[in-house]
Amino acid sequence: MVTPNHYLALSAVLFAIGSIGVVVRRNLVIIFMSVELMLNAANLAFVAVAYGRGLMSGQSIVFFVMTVAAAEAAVGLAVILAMFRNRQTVNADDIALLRW
Amino acid sequence: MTLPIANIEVLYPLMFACAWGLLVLTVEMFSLSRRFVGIGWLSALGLAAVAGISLSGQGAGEVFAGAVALDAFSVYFYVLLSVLAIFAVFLSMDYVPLAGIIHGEFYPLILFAVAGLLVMVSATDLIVMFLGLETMSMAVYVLAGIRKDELRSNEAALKYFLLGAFASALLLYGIALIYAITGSTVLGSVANAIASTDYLAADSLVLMLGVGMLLAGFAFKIAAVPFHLWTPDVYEGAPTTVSAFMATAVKAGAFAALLRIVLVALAPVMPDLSWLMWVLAASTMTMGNFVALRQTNVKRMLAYSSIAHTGYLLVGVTAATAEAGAAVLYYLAAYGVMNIGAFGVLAALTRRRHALQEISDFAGLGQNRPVLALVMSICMLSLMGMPPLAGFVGKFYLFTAALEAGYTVLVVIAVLNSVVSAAYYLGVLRAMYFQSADAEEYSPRPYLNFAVTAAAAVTVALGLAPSPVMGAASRAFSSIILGP
Repeated sequence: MVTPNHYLALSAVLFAIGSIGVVVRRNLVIIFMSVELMLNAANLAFVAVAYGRGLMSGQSIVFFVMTVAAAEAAVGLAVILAMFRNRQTVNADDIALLRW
Repeated sequence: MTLPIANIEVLYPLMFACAWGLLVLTVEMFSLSRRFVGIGWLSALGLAAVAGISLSGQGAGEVFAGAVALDAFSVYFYVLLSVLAIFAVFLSMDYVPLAGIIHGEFYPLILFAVAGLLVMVSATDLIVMFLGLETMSMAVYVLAGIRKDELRSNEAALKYFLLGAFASALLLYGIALIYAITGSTVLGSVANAIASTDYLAADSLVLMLGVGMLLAGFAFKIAAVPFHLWTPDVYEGAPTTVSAFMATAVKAGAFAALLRIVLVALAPVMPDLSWLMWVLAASTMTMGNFVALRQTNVKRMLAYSSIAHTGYLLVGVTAATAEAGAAVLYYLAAYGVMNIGAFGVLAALTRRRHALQEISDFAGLGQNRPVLALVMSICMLSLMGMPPLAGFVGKFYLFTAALEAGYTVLVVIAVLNSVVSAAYYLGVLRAMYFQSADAEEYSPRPYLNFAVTAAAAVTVALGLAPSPVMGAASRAFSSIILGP
């Protein structure tokens, strides 16, 4: 029997994979994908809670978060592309012009 | 025409800001001049109208089932954010052509960022707050990287974007966990749900994890230790007037949202978490001040100074009394104008596509450009906390309120930090007045000069006559605690 708690556990696992991805991967595009995974983990949690508690709000929140994720993808890829045009790299370690 | 939403008047300032942004974007398409001065005037006009509409007192109350509220707190921040954005626009009217920014979207993006900030400060629902935060962040990511051919600007935008998106995801997951325990995202209902359950026993881990993630996300936005690492890089790489906007308006908006969360939604758990805010405040100001000491680049120094000021403001959040809250609101206004002045002087030193940011570039400014030097001195002394300027009055209110709430050790740390900060603020003054350099030719910069002079004048005025703003601040603060 799959209960809402199983979905919550899955969302926690997805969130963990996403945050580990942000920390250990060096490719900017993959880091960005990991962030998107974290947002989707939150979406799954909202839906699971809404389903488990019989609420509507959690289900509608997901639409807003999807919109935010789409807008973030547009801006984020543009920022990465602008960087790539000037530097021909998407490796996070090469980006160290500004430091103290 | 009547719209089928009760209390739609509450949204007028917000709707106006969004619509005006779109209007400016459209007008800009047909703009013949590449200097965009007219577009700047149009944006400033719209921002002034936003402040006017929110002050007109129409439609106080709530809308969307208590998700957005236009109380005295919202109005205070609507006006403050509009004023700070107008300053940023005036600074930009000379800076944009100087810095070689050829994109007219610059001003509409400021308007959209302001619209996001307005949503954020008036939101009484965690998800609406998140949406406002994202709207604002999205515009500011683009503003930070608007000089597409400039490597530093690229890098600033990239760092800000990646870390900002990560922090937003953290914040959202925190909201999801709080929603899982309380079944609501409306601040008041969250507080009731937390208060009515024995959160220390059942589900406490999940709830505390959620609260921790939420606070971590906000700590990033206000640049608190240990989530401050992006600040100096982003402020240095972004166009100077954008840094000014980020350091003042964005920080004020994030603090407003943080105050609402901490004092309304998390009020039942705060007594157990005040130690966390204490540690955050103490480490943020100490870290900011001590690293600022060794900076030679004034823009980076101002970034660390802004981290230190986050620490001072957190002292007020830790104390969480009515006086402390009002002092935080006053200090955000004072800190905003003095920082606009300081970043504005930096912007005024720009030569064609070449930013002068080192302390040595300030040498001889007292002889060569006495007005700019005077403005910079006022702002530095005010940031340091020299009476009778705004910075001193703000710190005085903040620290007194914290003392009364019983945080003596924290106040001692804060005062010691202010003393340390004098070293780097006075370093700029020394360069300006006790070192000499040859005079340089500058093109006339009427808007920049006007804006920085006005910022310095407001800094002095807020220090000499703090009571009107302080009165508004305490009325604003009591409206979130006691309801509108």
